[in-house]
Amino acid sequence: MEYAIEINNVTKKFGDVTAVDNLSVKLPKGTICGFVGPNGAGKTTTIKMLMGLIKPTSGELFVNGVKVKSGLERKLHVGYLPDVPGFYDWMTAEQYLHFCGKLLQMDKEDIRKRTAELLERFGLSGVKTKIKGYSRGMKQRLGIAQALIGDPSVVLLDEPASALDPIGRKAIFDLILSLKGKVTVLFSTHIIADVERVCDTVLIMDKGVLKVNTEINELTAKQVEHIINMSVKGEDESINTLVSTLENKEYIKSVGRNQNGIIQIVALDDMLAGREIPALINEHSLALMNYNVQTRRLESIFLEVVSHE
Amino acid sequence: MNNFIVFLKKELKEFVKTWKLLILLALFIVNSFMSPILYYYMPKLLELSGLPGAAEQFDMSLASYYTQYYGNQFQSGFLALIFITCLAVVREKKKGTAILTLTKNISRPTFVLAKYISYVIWYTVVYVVSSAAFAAMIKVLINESINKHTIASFGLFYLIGIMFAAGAIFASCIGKNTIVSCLIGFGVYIAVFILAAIPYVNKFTPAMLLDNSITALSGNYENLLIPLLTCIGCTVLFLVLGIVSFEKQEL
Repeated sequence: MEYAIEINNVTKKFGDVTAVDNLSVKLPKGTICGFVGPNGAGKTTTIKMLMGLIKPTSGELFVNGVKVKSGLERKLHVGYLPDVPGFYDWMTAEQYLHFCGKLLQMDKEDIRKRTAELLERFGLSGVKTKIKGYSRGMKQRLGIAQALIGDPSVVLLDEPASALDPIGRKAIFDLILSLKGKVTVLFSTHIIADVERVCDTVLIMDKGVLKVNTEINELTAKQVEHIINMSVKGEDESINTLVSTLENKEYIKSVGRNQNGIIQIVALDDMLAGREIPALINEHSLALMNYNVQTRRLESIFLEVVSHE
Repeated sequence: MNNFIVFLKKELKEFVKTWKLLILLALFIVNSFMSPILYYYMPKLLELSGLPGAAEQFDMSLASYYTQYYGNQFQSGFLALIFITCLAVVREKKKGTAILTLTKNISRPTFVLAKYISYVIWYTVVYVVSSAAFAAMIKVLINESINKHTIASFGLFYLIGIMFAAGAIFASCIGKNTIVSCLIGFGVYIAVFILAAIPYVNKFTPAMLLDNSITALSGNYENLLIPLLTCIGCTVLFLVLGIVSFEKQEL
């Protein structure tokens, strides 16, 4: 199987600091992959290595089967958005996209069509202001447009949603969704909800180490947990007995009681919990006042994976 | 369209849009006018100041006017050329514009070469305009017309600027920030200055072209080959080193 992105045992050190530690990832063509991790996790370094802008200390990287080498970034047919994109700010967005199109050797008609389409899509159509007058959000949108101008088969986006308002974010992730199956997209982000919405695969990295590399569906199915917050009324002793009883149930991972008296339960089976817990409350002569269930999503998993000792 | 041409056109447009090289034009032009005028009136000013015999010691030959002019351009015009050219690559690296451009099917050597050629084109325009202005001033002041020897003289002096521009591009490629690049560029300038002052060694340095451009005025082209070759050699060397270092850099 030919992968769009292949990273084999890549390590990158900056002096004594290991930014990326023995990373191996394979992304099939057409995958939308979210790259998640706290600041300093090694996401930007990995993306830059994939672009050939940074040389790995050891290991190999391939994009579309081509081995990535420093100085050969032009040969990869990759659309790239850096974390802080820099533009020739004396140009307008249209002029800049035309310039990019010409560098990519696109023909005039293609450049014209694609530029108009991207400007429209990212809300920059008709903006005659020079780039130096743009807000950060506008620059970010232009950054994504320039990454897509050449219809690349692989797109690497470093924090594409940063500096964007909800409308801008929606436009970008709708666009990413529309690329699913046709273009391989790897994007880094802090916004877990966006990953859940558009990605097939998620990579969670922390301190240079890849902690999770799996398909989104698998991850949520495998590690699903339900947080139950409930309040009961009755004698304190009875409530303590109820908590002890719940602690011994197989389908319950943990039980706690906060200062406001709310009992927080982490349950592995929400259906069973929903049937049994009210019955137990009744057995202990208590009244159920409130019962709220939240299914634990990727965000909680992410926090668990990257939480440090 | 060839990537080199696309990027070169962008660079040339940028000069006009950002006015960034107007300072160079202004400096060269000011020297073109002020240098011969000041030299022409200096004896009279000295006479007025009452210094006895000072005015007679002034050599008012054509060569002296050129020596004065070249000296001024060397000390201020070339220095401005170096500092401005030193920003060419390093500013793109710092601003992040280089990354976006280099991921658009343009090679790093093409990027550096197009930068260099654009600065050379602009320097050439500035140089031709300022040389024409200087020649016009000479005609007005001492009624000396331009001839093939003065053109050769201008040409030889021009080559020193070409070399300095290459040195500045090299500095811009290897510098991590604008200050470091400017310091390296200034180092190249000072090195040429120092080498020119060392007897015997100076015959082999590009700075000797400054003397050659004066002797060329009288049709004397002796001892030209070695400084000419070292000047061209240094230009090529600076460019190659700049490109090689830029190719190896992590952006």
